[in-house]
Amino acid sequence: MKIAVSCKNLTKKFDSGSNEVIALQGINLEVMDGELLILAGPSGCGKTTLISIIAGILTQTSGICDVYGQNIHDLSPLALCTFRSKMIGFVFQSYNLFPTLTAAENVGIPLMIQGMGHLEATEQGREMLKKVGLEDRADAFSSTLSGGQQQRVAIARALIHSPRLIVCDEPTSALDSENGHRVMSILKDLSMREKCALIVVTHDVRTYSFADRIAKMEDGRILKIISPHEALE
Amino acid sequence: MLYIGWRMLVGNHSKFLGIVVGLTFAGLIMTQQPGVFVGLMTRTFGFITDLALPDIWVMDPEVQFIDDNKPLPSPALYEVASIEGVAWAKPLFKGLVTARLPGGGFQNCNLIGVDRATFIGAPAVLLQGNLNDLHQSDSIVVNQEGALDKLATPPRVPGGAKIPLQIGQRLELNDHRAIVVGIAKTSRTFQSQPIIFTTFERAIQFSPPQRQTLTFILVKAKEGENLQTLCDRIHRQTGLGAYTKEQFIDLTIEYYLKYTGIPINFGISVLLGFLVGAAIAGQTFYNFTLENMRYFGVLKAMGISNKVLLFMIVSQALFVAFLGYGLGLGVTCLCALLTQDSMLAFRFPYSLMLFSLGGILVISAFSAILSLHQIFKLDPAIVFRN
Repeated sequence: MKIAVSCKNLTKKFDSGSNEVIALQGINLEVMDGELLILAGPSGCGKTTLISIIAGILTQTSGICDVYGQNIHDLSPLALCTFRSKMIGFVFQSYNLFPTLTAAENVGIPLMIQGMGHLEATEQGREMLKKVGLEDRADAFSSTLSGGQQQRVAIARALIHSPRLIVCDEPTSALDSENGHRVMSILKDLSMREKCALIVVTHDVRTYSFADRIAKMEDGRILKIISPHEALE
Repeated sequence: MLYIGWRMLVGNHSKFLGIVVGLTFAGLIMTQQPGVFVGLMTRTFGFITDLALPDIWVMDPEVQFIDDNKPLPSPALYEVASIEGVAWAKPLFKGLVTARLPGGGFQNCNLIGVDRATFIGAPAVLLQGNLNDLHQSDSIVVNQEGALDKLATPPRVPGGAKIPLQIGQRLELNDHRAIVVGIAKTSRTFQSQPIIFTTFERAIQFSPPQRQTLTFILVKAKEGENLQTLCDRIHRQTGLGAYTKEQFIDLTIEYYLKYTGIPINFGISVLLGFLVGAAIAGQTFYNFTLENMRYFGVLKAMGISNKVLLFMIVSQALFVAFLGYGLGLGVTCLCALLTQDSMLAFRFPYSLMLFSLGGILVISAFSAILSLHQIFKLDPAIVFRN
């Protein structure tokens, strides 16, 4: 199996006035192609910082982060933008859907970023919404959708451009049990079908059963990497 | 991406309306007020442009503007007429006279005395009467604005309409009898005083006694003669001031700009409009950007480059700029249309249109730069902060 993400001795420090905050220290992690890895741990342990670096929207202080063999932080700003637009899909806790666009238009945004015209991108967005069971809400504005529906739109948006890596930040935390389960099922199914790596940051123990592996983090370190079975025990 | 930018902009109706209203207001102030200013300035030299035939105006060298009457000695007319390159030279009297109205009131009027043989200096358009009737004794021609308003007979009943001055009616000009033989169309003057035209000799009779009576000499250059060269020649040989029509207009405008508070007052008005428009539109556009910062962050995270964001923001700014400017210009034109027959001075040359468009673009560019500064320094990692 191919290595999708490889982090070696990754460190991130933030300057907070006179204090220096160490968010990550000596992270070593590998995520395989087609794998669903959950990053779990208490608030402030560095989960979000780690996926921000892996997704190429934050720069590490030291260490190496390769995504599909590319040290992304060696890329020029423009090349990094192109890399993100093609290789990475994002799912956010608060969905981040554009309120002035319809669901289909929201889903089509990654294609528009790659240069596709908005009509064609919206049409493909409409097709993608079928895969998450929202074809009847394609023309609805995000404010008229329920939380679960919004997250499914966000998943469709993250997958429409066939990225190789999807990073999800607390995708189920704003959802009830049923919707959370549904969202994780869709994420898992679609990522398996698309054969992409999936990194999910979550506090939600109910989602552990969907993971291939779970990395437990604390104080900026990965304490252990365990199986879902071990985690649930 | 232009589509997303456009939908982000117009999708927030209240903010979009705020930006457009701000720019419309700024556009209105920056077109309407300078339009009135240009209109007023045009009135200062309206009498010069009304006289189409003369190429050169000769006058006392100390004259500063069209209403600055400094009479010349009569022989100056013959001296100028004899200068090489002059096709003809005609006298023009310009002064003030007090008219006693039929109702018993008094009104100061501009009195213009023109050459009785050629009528050069007389109004080009007569609405009523015939210019040749100026050959009749005591005859005068009155301009339309004067006849309808300041020289009209007061209403017979309180609150009624004034009775316009008619052909055949009499006025007393400085205790001399004058009979109206024509109503002329002229440009409205800066002081809006009635204008009375008569022959040069009769004008001297109507006006208070003075030693010298020749106010201007109107000169036509021979065909092919360079006007500036001729002006210089007249000045060199007579010591008098000689200006082409354009130069005399510039001299008059310069006087009003220098010695009246008009430009400062209008300048303040335009500046205030600009600042208020900039404040409203700039702040609303900037707030719009701040409120959408999370979404710009999402776009950045998804891989949009700063160059594309620049394109999006500039497109948004240009869209609202042209929309606001168009609406402001439309309201200005509507105002001008509704007031075209009123006393309001308004002129709107193309240069003014470009000036106000430039102003609106500056406001929009300023707003866009403020917004872009925030967006460029935006950390895309904001998307994972809740």
